Amino acid sequence: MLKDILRKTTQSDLYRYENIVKKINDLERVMKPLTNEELRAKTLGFRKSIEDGQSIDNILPEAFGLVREASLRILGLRHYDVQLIGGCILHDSKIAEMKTGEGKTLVAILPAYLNALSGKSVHIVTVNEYLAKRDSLSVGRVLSFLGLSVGLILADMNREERQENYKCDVIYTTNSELGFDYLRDNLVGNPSEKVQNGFEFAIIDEVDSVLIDEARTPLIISRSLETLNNIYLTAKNVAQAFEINTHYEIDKRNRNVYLNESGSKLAEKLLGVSSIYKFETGTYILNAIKAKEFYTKDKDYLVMRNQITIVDEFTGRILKGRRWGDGLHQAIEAKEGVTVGSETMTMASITYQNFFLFYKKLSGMTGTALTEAKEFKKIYNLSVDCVPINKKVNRIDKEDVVYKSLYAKWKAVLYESLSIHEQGRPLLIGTSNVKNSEIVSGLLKEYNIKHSLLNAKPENAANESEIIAQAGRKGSVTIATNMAGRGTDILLGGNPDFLTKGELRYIFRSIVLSLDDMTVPKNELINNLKYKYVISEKNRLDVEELIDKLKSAYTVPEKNRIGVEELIENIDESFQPVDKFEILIQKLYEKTKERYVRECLAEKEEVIQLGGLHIIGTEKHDSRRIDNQLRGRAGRQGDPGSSKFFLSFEDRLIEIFTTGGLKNMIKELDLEDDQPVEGKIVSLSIESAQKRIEDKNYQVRKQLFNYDNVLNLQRKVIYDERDRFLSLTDFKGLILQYLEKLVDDVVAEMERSENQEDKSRGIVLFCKKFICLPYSIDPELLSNLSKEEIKIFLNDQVKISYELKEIELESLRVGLSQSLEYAFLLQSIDQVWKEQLTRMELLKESIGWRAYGQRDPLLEYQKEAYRIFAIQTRKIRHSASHLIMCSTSFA
Amino acid sequence: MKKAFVLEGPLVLRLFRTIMILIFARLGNYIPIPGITEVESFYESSFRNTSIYNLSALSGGSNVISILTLGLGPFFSASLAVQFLVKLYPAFEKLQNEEGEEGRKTIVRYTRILTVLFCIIESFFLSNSLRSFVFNWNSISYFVVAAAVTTGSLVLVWLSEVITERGIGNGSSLLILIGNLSRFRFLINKDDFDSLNVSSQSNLYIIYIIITLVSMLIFSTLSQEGARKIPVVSAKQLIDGVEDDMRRSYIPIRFGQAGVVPIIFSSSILLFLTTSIKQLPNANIATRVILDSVNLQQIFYFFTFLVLIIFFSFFYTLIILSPSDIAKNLKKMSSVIQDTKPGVATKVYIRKFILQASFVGSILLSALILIPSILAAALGVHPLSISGITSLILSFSIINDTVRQVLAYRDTRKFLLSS
Repeated sequence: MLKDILRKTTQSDLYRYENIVKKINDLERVMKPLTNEELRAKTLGFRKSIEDGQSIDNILPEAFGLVREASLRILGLRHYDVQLIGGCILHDSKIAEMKTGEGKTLVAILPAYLNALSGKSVHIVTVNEYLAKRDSLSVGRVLSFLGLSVGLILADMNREERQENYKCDVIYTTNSELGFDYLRDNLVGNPSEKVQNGFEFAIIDEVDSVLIDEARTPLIISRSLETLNNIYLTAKNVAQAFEINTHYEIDKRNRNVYLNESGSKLAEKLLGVSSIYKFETGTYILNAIKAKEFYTKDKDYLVMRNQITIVDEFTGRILKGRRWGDGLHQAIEAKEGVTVGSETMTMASITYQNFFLFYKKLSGMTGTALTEAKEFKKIYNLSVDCVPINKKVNRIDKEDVVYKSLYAKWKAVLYESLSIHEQGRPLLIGTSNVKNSEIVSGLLKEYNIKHSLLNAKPENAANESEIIAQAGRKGSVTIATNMAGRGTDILLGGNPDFLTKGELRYIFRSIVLSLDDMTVPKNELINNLKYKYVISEKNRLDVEELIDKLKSAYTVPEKNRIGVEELIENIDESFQPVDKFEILIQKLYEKTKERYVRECLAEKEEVIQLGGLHIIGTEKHDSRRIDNQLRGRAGRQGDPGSSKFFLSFEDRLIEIFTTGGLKNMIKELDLEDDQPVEGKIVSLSIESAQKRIEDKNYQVRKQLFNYDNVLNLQRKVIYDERDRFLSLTDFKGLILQYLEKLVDDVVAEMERSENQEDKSRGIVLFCKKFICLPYSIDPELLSNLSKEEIKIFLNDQVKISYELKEIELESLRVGLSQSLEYAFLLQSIDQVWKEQLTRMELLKESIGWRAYGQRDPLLEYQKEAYRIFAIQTRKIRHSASHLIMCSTSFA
Repeated sequence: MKKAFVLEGPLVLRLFRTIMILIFARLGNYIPIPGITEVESFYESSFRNTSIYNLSALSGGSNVISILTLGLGPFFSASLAVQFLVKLYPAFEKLQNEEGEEGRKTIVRYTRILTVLFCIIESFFLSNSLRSFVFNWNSISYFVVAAAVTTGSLVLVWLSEVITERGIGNGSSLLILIGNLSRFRFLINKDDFDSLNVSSQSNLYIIYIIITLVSMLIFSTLSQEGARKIPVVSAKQLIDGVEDDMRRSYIPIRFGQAGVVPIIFSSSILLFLTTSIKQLPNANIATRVILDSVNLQQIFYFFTFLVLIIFFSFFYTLIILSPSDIAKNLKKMSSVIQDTKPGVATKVYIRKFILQASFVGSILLSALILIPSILAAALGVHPLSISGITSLILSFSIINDTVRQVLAYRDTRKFLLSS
């Protein structure tokens, strides 16, 4: 019954959206006859009416209709009705679940346009730079056509470029750029160096990837410390000497290791220390064991150019520049024998969970959100709505099969591949890591099956777009890691645009080559073309002529080379050429593309007849979403397709997480090697294992979120204070305030000491060492004063000597005192915050013990965090005061 | 940021929710069981009948006959049974400790199933005792009573969970507490209650009550809040920590770690003993003597009570705080107790530490029980009834617990506001 009610409420929303769509459809007749200029003028009109107090909800139908019309004119793509519904869902600050190939990027521009009208920046967040760039260059054009400015933030941009781009109405960027820019903005020494300006509305593409899979990964800006290379190597050697279960035990589920007694003893013997728990070495040894037991080369990381590069578990992509924390990365470096990096100290950090809650309005889209709906609601207050599909999914998902051993599994995968390949159907084999993808590749090589391999290794990753463009062609076999998941659009019969651009690129490069070496004859050039069948005899002459013309038009090779490559990358039908060369390129593009479109369409028909793309999964991921992403590559926009997962009882997931029943079953059945187990029970039991892991991870994330909230509040306080420093032009008032509080603190502290003599001595010492009074104070003088009198006395002293200090500094150089004070304030607050991050980390680790006293660790954490924070904020004042008062001793 | 904290709910809202639920639960005490019409006569007999009185004091059930008569009793019995199973059977222990949230959910499910079972069993006993009060009793009545009180008890369990999760304090404790408070006038011996009209005695009696309450509050707070700390150092702290961090890293072992469980256990056993001894047809002379003399009866009663309480304090503390568990977890977190070697030495240290703490705890509990009688003897007034003392101790520890939670929330609020 409850489900019934739930369905009705979601339907009533849907009902409302459908009404809006009706309105938009009615408006289409009004939009059609308008000229481009008139369309653009509408934007101004909207802006005006919003300024006049019109709510953006009221202009939604008209605005969406406008975007639809513009998109049709610019891209030739008209929003489907369901895409308009998707736009409404996003505008209502919800998550829209849309199946693969339903055009998410096109949906995003609807609410982006509408919300940007009120003058607030809209951030469209994608998971990688390639997507950000692609989207801003394609659908972004619709927005610029309508008169909005479209920005793009990429990793290699400098500060000025970022500032420029952040000012735009709609900004395409990645989640990590946003997060890091936020952190960097709070480390700047000057307000004008900040790049971001507020967090209004974010539309997150692949929202489950960002807010769930990556939720636990903190973004960290750190600084190198001095290295203790030796200790990592020593620890590595100790770990090598250890044997599992005799010296240490491992907990596979939680990826934890711990030494047992003989392990500690051996370590103590090897290191010649009395107790490893008294020395820092303990952590290093544990890390070395973790590196040995849980981290595998070509699975969790790659070794590239004498460096350890992390491979992301969810996306299969390398995480450039990211390092594992707490010395683990160094332990792995020691294990692989590459240069051990220096230890780092966290300067600033934030998690995506916290960061994206800064936005006043948040929404997202993905193909897989429903399984995580509870988490979206609880943590981000985002509901998930399903967008009705435009075309029915036509994919057949076959029942999972489970083999006895890994060996049997790979054999079965091979046979399945051979049989599918024989039929000529395109095939995508998904693997869980680089290593496995290479195993499959090796197997197929033995059977002489031509295939492409897509994994994080740079030599393979470089061809990503080309591999994917070809993956839907007849008879093509693609082996991929999770890289072939999100955002990967496999078109049956091939992707004409990609193929065309590849061709163009090739032609251009050949031209450059032949210009360098005039001896290469034109004929040979054409004969060497990769996709030779395009240049049929019929239009061979045309192309030859074009190439000739290109050659003569291409005049300044070195300078233009990159420019031309970029041009080819971004060219499309609506491209407006400006010179002769570009006209030629465009002509070539159109000619080639026309040909490819025809080819691809014909091939697509053929492939559809055969049954479309087939997906083979070779392992289940911890999260069902990742499996569904892989499956989702087939059956795009109503195309036929199929998927099947091949598993084995030696897979990590099944070995560790399924319940005893399944294992007993396999024992009792006494299976032959090539005899798989299949059926509902098997699938269900695997699914329940996945559900359990998902739930466990959710609990961890929720926990992390609760703890993080505490740190987040502190972060806000510190950053607000820092912003105040940045905005001040005169620090005198602030510093006098600080000094007064300092005196209060000191007097309060002195009150605690028992006898009068200690008290006076403490104060004298404080004056001399801490605030560097240029004269000494007679302790006798203090002994007769009351607490209040001492306060007044000290305040006077401090104030006078501060004034003197200012005069002294100003006499050295005009403005010196201001700039020094500014620098000291920033230095103090940054230093303290850095310390605070470490201290909170330690507190989080040790607070769990309170549970033994039946105290809620979270509440205890909040309480202790509050106390520590109070100490630390005091420290900012003290440290800044000290630095300023004693500054001449440095000069 | 706002979004995140709306979910947490501010203190006022939580308090309000809690109070509303408590009122709602109280109202449930006036819903009669269908078909049981002679409520009044049972009501009269029930508070003279100490065994039923005691039962309801311990379970938060009603002291009149209603659908909530069983109170949380079946749920407590079920949780205790499950907790024992967890300690005794490794499979259960694994569920609780290693399967994460999913495992704990399974444990909760078992507890609920067992609760229903206990409800049904108890409802049959109840039916039997009700027979004489119902005019036209037939076999269907058994089912009606069983269905009514089982439903009532389960609703109460659910309400207690709502309070725990979305209100403030521990739901089941609070339900017991309001039950006790509503019976407050029965705490005092019936005879004393009647004699309160005599003015000369009554002043002294009021003084007695006040002193008793205050001193019990003090001892109860001591036993609840007092704790000793085992200092813990993690490997990470050795590298990055400052002294202040070390100070905050400890395992608190409370004196009253076992909470009110020893009292509940001991008084249940005593209840059983007294009722069964009284019913012994040919009791031997020794028991006769004890039973005949009120003073001896009192002394015997207190003595047994104390022994049982001390026993259960140690027993239960070691069940919920297993030294080898703590030692294992220390190892897992790569932490050590300051100046103690990991392994056997650590285990021994923790055991000794826990025993010391529960020794202090059991002394405090004993004091709690003895205070009213000693004071009564000193002032020359009638002491509080033993069941009254029990429910006072329960009430105090529940109040303590709740106050601590409220304070913690206030701290959080303070923290939020200050930033």
